[in-house]
Amino acid sequence: MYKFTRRQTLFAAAAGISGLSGYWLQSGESVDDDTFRVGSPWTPDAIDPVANGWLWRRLNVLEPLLTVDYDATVSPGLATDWHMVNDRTWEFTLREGVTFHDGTEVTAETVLPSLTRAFESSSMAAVPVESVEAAADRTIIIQTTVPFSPLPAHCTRGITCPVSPSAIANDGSITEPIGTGPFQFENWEPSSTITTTATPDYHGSTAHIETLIYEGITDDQTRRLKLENGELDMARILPNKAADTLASSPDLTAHTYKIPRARYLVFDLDSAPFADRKVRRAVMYAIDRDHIVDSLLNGLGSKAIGPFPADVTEWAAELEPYEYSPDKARRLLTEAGWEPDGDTRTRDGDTLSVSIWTYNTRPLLPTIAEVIQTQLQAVGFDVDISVMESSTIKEQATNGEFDTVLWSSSVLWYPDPDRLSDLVHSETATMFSGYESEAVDRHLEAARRTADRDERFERYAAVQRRMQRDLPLGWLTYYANVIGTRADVEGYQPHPIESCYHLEEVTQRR
Amino acid sequence: MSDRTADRRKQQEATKQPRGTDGLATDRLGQFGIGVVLTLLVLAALGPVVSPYDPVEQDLSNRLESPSLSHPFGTDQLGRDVLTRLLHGARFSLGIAVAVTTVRLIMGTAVGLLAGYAGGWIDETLMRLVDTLLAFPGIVLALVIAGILGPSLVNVMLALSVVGWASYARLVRSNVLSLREREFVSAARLLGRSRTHIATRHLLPNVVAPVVVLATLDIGSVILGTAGLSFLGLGAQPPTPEWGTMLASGRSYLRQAWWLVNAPGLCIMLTVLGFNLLGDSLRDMLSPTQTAQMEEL
Repeated sequence: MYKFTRRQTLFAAAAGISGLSGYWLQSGESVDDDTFRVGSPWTPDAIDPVANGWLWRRLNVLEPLLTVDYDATVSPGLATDWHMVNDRTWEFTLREGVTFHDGTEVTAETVLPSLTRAFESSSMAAVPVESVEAAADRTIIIQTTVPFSPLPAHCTRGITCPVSPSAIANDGSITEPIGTGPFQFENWEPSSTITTTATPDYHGSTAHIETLIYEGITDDQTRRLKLENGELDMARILPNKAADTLASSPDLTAHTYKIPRARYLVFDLDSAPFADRKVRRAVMYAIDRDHIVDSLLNGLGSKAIGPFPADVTEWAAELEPYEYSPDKARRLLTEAGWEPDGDTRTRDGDTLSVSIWTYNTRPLLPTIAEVIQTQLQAVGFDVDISVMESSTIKEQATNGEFDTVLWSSSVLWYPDPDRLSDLVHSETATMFSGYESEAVDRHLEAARRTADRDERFERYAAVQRRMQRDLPLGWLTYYANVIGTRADVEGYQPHPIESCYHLEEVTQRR
Repeated sequence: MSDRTADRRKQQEATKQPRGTDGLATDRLGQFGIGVVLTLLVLAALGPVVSPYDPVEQDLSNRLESPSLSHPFGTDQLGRDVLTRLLHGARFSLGIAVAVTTVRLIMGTAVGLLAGYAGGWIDETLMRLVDTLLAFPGIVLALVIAGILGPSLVNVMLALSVVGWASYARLVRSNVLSLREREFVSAARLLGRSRTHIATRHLLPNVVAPVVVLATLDIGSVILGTAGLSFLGLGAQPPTPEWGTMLASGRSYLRQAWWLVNAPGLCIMLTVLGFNLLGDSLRDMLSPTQTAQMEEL
């Protein structure tokens, strides 16, 4: 074997130590400057607002025509005023004195190319926009093909955020996200980080932090470690368990708040045994949701009654909850013809066996599935669990038979209850239960046609009551988010829909 | 491992005594390997019977308890005793490992025997197939197969069996190639014995020793493969107490409950180590002449 001489060894050691010290100096530097680092699970994959606009919106590089307020309602953004001219025409009035980051003034003319581009994209295919026009210097007219009252809510989405005409290349692609927000684009590393700086002449109040760096870190443990080590100033979406430990550390603060996101069971209404409403009801009575919230969720989040959490949005209807009652569940199963036979029930020689499909990119889902498995076994189901990729589940459940899927999604990611159409409309629903109800379709369509808030509320409440009765989806729990920040971060106010982090309001005591 | 064997070979040359004769009596690592494997077998057989807990019954009031006298390895995210789950998991891991290795061994030996003895285009075809399989990283291929078949323990066993038999075929074929030129085979042929008879009665018994050694070494990698595929969610489904699945579900609690990941992790490590050491010393003991040949595989 090769022998090192004493001198070589010493030299190597010296080189190693100086290399390390270089690293230390460098890492020490990044903590002291005016940089604010935020980490969340999603990696930046595109500059184009049509593909990745929600992320640029969250960082407030881009601003939409309308924004979402902290009470989850639509409020002014780049447009100060909007109203329905007739049932298919909307008029938006643009704010004065706003410029894009490249100095171009925001007028109907300059906003038009990106709006047209957004509404023509396939991501907005569900929004029936016919044309977007500049009627005057500051007036934009949007026509829809059918009366469509959720339009303002869709105008809050990241996709629709205007970018400067200079950022749109001749072939229609976006070269740089030049928006109007309090932070402006500096550079990015695809799939990893985005660097932005405060916009000096922002039309609102200028951001307190100088540089904002966004890091996409898929693993929640990594985000948390980076926060604890001071490599992040804010780590978003941490495990519920982390809330206690964050709160007990003097260097860190935990923000927990409820969001309109739910975990729920999607039943296959086209195959036995869940084609039978009694069996679905039995499942809802057999699951002890308080127990799941208290123990598995550490008391963060809450038991779900219907699709919308009443303490986050005013669109939640008054609904009859399914209270935990294993006896009721057993009775319903017997009524449906499933007789006890040993541990598992049978009917005409078939055993009552079901499989729960779920996925693990939302870490708690498989664990919750195991608890549900035990609780269903207690009333006579034979249950197995399959943990798969969410895309595989979606594909297989849409095209074939399944029993039930434990799913998680936002119930209000644009601030309008028309979201229910995605869940239960017989034709436009993306959820795969196979639910068909003429009454529900009628209400959903009628609610799109009117701008009258009270009538819409009544319609959506009727839909929620039907859903509660027919149970195409069984609501389990709502989410609470856990956000960790360094203790010296002040002024952060969590946003319920998280359409924007509003980090321009944050200050750091240093 | 190879350093150790090389050292030992030098030692053998020095003493001019075949390594096989002193056997396990002086082989400390081999003894350790045997010890680990035997302990595991006993624990897998008796543990689940002795343990007072149920491996799947949840007790949500006792979640994530740190190791104590009543729960030596703590409890998991659903309040289940980790030690009990590990013991039940040992049954799965060992059972699967033995089953998969047996299938690999039988397939590989059959192919190797056929290729080596039949020769000609049969040999050529089979060996190109073996080359293809060996050229492909086994775990990746298993991942693809298990992914296509869908997540279940049976599919993982299938996938691992399909990918791993090639090295047996290689080993058996090369042995057969040298054996079939030997006098006793020629003698049998001159006596008019059928080809099947020669293959099963004269060739097969002579390749068993190296194959068994390879199988022992292989068990470790099968255990690792099963755990790996289960960790990725392709194998055992919750609440099955399989080591890889336990590792995967404990991962999100790494910061609060280190025992959820470390206990199954250590189990996997010890088991693989035990089988490898055992296989290593078996190899030295049974077939000192084959050592060099085995190493190429």
